[in-house]
Amino acid sequence: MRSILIIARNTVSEALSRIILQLILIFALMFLLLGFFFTYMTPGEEDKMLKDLGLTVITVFGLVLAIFIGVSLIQPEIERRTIYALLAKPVRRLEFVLGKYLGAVAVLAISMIVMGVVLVGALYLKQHMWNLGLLVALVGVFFSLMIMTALVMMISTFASSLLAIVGGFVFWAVGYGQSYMTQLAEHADNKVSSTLLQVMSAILPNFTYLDLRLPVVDGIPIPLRLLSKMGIYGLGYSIVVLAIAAILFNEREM
Amino acid sequence: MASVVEVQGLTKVYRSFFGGIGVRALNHLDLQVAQGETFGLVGPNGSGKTTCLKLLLGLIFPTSGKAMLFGRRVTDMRVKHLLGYMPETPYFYDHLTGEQLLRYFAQLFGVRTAQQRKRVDDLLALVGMSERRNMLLRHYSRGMLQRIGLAQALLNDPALLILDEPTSGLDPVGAYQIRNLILELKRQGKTILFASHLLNEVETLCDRVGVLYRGDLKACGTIDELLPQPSQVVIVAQGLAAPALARLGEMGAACVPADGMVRITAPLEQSEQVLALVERDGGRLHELLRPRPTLEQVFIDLVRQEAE
Repeated sequence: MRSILIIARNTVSEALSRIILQLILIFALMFLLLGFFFTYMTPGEEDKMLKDLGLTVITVFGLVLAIFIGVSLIQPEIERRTIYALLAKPVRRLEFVLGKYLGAVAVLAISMIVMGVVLVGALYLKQHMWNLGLLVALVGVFFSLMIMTALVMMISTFASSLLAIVGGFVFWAVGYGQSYMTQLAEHADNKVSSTLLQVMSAILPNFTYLDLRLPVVDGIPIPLRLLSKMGIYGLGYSIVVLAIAAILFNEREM
Repeated sequence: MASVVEVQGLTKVYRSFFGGIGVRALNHLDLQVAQGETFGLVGPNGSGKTTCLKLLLGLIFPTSGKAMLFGRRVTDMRVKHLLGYMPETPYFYDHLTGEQLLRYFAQLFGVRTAQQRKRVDDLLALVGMSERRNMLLRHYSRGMLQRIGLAQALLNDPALLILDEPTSGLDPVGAYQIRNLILELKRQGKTILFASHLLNEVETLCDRVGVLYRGDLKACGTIDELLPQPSQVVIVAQGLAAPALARLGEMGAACVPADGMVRITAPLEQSEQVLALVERDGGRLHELLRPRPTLEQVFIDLVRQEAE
């Protein structure tokens, strides 16, 4: 456990020193602030617009951040050969994978807190009350980012950085387009195609489970028990992907 | 004496993603390195030196055969606590300073916080990097990285040091300092295994040497065992006239005049007769040499034979 935490801490300091990640975060904040300005162009719908735009910006930039952090965890260590000296120390490969992932999740948490504080703060200034549903929606976005980071990290245990980035965007598209896959399965010509699509739908990530943007924007109350369901899905899916990543990395030659 | 490194029939074939014939980087290597011994692996580029070290570190896996360190599997964490490794071209986290890197690795070794500072200070002083401790690694020169590379390999006061080309890229002064440091570690009784293509370095530092060529161990032994005994004598003399040189020529000696002296090369068994003749003909002996082939000559001959 000690090694995992030490590696995680180094991962956080490395990620925070990266210009590209700082830029993504700065752009996200810029878009959020710009979005707040545009809400004045939709009188009467300001709060709705603020929540919709804010959550969309946080989700999009969060996923971009997750992909870039995920891809920078393993493959660059191998390409830059920094891993040679590290694995010669008393560090198990599993500890390395877990430490890297934990560090990435910590960086994402920091980014989410920064972006979330701006959005929740802006809404509080308008409504003079805390929006609990918005907080739950932000937690859902965070679980999506955890899954995305684990997926990209898993790809980078056996493939190049470029392929991991492409893979990340494919998972993003598939993860938010699960409803189309379900429709395709329902209207498939034959049973084989239908079953195949259903299996794929079950295996691939479903980010719509964690996407509460629409109910939050429409002001539908979000039950708190949804938080535990999202937690089980987000953490469970991430753990399974991490386990696969650890198995693949254990077999990887440096 | 107990073997610290034990390698039996170690073979590594690199295959492409789709299988295929593959490249045989190491072929049935048998090797033992005893406790306290300094063993040098030499060979041209692509001979399998780094592959052998990577197998010993568990960075890659053998196709067949086995590698053990301290009688345990190379992936055993107890082995890692006894091991120090310096990579060929030390690449480290460039967002850290030299001191931060050493502290990071010291934490991974479980060095207690109270002892970390002293250990890091001592090692930075040992490799002459105390003044650059707060500089980011991305601003280090190759030589500085090499020094930090050695310092991080010594953090746990290892019983076995694995060094991959420890002086490559260093200026002559830096290389001399690292060599002296290795000699000091050798005096402290550490077992050292290193790969190098700098043959004079290997000759100076190693108790035993293994010569790798295209994955095969072509020769292995002490320097004395590997280098043939001198077969010739070289006599440098002054004041020898033409008739004397002619007589030496008749004996089978080769005479080359240079700078008012004569350099006479003769078979070793004729050395006494040649010396007697030089004395009788009024020559003054200036220098007497029994040149022994260097490791470099032996190595070049071996590679040439293999290439033919």
